[in-house]
Amino acid sequence: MRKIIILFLSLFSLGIFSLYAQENNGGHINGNFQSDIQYYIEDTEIGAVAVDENVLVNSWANFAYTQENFSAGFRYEGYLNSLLGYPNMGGINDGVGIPIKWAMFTNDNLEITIGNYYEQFGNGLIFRSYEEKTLGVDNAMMGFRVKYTIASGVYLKGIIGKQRYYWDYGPGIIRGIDGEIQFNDLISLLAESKFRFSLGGSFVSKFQEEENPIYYLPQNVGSGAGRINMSYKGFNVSSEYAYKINDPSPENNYIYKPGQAFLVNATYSQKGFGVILGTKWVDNMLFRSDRNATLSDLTINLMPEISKNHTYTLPAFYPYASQPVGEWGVKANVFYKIPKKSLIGGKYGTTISLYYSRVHDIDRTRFSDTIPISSPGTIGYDTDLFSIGEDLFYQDMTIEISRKWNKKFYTNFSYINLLYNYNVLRGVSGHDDVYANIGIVDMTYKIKRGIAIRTEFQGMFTDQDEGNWGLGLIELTIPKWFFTVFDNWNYGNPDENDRPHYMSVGFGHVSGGNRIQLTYGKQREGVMCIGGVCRNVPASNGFSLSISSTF
Amino acid sequence: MMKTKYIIITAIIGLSIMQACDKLEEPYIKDDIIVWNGRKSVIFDFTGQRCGNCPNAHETINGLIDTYGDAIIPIAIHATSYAKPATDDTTQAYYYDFRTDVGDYLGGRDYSFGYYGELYLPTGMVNSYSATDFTTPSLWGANVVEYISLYPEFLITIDGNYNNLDSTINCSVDIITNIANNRQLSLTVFVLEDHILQWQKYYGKDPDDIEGYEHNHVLRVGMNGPFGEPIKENTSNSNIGDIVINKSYSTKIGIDWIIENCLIVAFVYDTDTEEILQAEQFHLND
Repeated sequence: MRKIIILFLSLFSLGIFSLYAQENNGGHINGNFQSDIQYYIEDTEIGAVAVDENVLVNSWANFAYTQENFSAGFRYEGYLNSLLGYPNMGGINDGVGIPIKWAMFTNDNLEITIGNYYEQFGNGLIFRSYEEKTLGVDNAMMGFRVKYTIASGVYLKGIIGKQRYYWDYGPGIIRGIDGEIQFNDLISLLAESKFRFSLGGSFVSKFQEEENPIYYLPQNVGSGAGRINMSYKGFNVSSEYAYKINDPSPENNYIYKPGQAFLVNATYSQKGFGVILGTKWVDNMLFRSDRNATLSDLTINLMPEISKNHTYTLPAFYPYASQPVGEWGVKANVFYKIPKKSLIGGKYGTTISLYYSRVHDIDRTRFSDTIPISSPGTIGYDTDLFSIGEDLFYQDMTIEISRKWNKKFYTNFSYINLLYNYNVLRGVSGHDDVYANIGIVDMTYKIKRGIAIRTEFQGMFTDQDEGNWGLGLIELTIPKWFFTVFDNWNYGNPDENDRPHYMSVGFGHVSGGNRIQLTYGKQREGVMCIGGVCRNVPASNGFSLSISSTF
Repeated sequence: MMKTKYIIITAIIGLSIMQACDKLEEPYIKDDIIVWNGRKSVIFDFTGQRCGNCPNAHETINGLIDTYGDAIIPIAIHATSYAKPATDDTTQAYYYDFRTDVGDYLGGRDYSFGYYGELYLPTGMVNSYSATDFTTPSLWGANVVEYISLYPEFLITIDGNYNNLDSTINCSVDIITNIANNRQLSLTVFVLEDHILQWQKYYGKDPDDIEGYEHNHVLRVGMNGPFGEPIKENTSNSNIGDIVINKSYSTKIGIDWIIENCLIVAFVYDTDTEEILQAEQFHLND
């Protein structure tokens, strides 16, 4: 370990030298830094708590040195202590250190990485190593990765390693291989063809010692996937199927059923018009390098999301959380730009986007008349590929109309209709499904070059959960500066004594690669999801300072 | 160069092939391991405060609860002459009267035999109303093991409360089919009480008259009689998820019952075979 630290400190010193020396020796260094600082104030009205430290800080910085076919880098991270809401059970995430360090070189068609790396096979159905700081997710691999270009259009990857688990590594060892053939690159006759075609396949296996006192558990859990991608002019169709052998764990109630996942995406686009269609079907595809891990810890794979990731505040109150134990989903997105200088399109054109997604449980039946579904120590249940269960998890119907009225005025109107199965998606019981209608008016007026004022008005109307919400926001942007004020009001809470305002004021400065933002305000308790992966967001009141920089 | 290529490819593929998958076949559960799959076991413990060997049966039950937890639902039925109070004088030993109508009917009152004829305490049955299934307490554990890993044919939900105004215990019981069947069914609902501190003869102690002995799972009353009541004939199938019955019961409490220590026990049994198929309990202090 000490040798590794010395190695990276040496590399870092080399990088600093190189920074001053610019590119005298052909190498260069780059990096970035971010620090999120929150001062917590107790607020009993919204359930916000103070912390013993008063202030909590999440910080990290990446440094990478590159010289010709060699590069190396590391990431410093400091959680002093972790901001509330980030995965940190028992303080496991608190601390300072250099958890990510890597070196990579390329030799002819061979690329070797040692140390930490992120990787994805296909759509990630059986392997995706990634980080998402917003969620506190980082399942970086620690080991070796080899990428080899066998011939033009024929690629092979091999990986082995353990996954990051906060400041340590998970107990499982992950081994995998992925290959892809892009026929248009491989076969010279097809090089100019408008029909493009590729095939890929991958295999991933996890080893973890079996120490369960009750069940025989597989120490080596293998999974395989095959994928295809075809495109012709504006059309593109891609699909992937994945299969995983028996992988009993506490999360699937120790059932021995193999897992399956199927994904299809189809797109068509031409100037001013586009269609995206997609569906996925997932059964028992939880895959972790520690079968006893929970939440977002040590996940080997990631099911791509089928639902829309809403960026406006109110529809994001009810985000979809992927259900790798079983879900069937479909999505359709059509957008059309009404031509500019037309009667309806106006001088600059108008873009209309229609979005629909719907997610159900899969249909499960008993494999035996005498054994209930998902009984531990059994095969669990029977299900057919593409079966659709009765339970509706989520539905989203969204219409967005964007229009630039003149050189100074731009609007975006949205209507969103959501159905949210609160019990399944929040892992609780006894809660009603939430039916919500949401309207959003987003207007930007450019006063003059570099100066603009933007307003947002949002309203959410529901008879369930916390009732109706309203939100108003004003944002002023001037060169290098921005100022924001907003109020988020739960005016329709069924409890008349519990209708708090969540006000926030903030400003920021952006210059070159630097960005500094200071905010004071209240944060509603809820859930945040990105790509179907979620974390809880606690209620908070206080100041937050965010500093980021790149070089 | 081509040779190097093939070596690398072969090494990578070979590495992946060596990563064999451990595809398992049944049995998935390790030898000698018993997994509870939700079937609960009712133990009828015919007992008496003046029965010196009966505490051994209580110890057996305590051991089974330690091992199997919620899977065990004991019912202590004080009956026979061993349950007869020794005196009316409340300052003397064995003055308390644990007897109930149900206990008298099933086990006999004083020196009169009950439904099951002459009983030699301690004795009892596991998951059965049938007289042929009486066993000594030493066999109760083996009996429980026969049921513990079975899946329950029915799921029972009890919702109960105590009404202070009229001193009544009220409950509603839902029976839902968990495994399709065509049984003729009956439902029995009892009220029990824990932590009753009274005298108990205990031959394992010296002196053997124990004051303040903790009597648990003591039958207080049958809300619908000693054998409950029929709830379904065998003329129709009962499918998974079917609600067999939803029924409400009510009973007055006794003057010396401590309501926080009381619980409602409901169980369904096959009216023909007298096998108890599933049971549930609800503590009134929940």
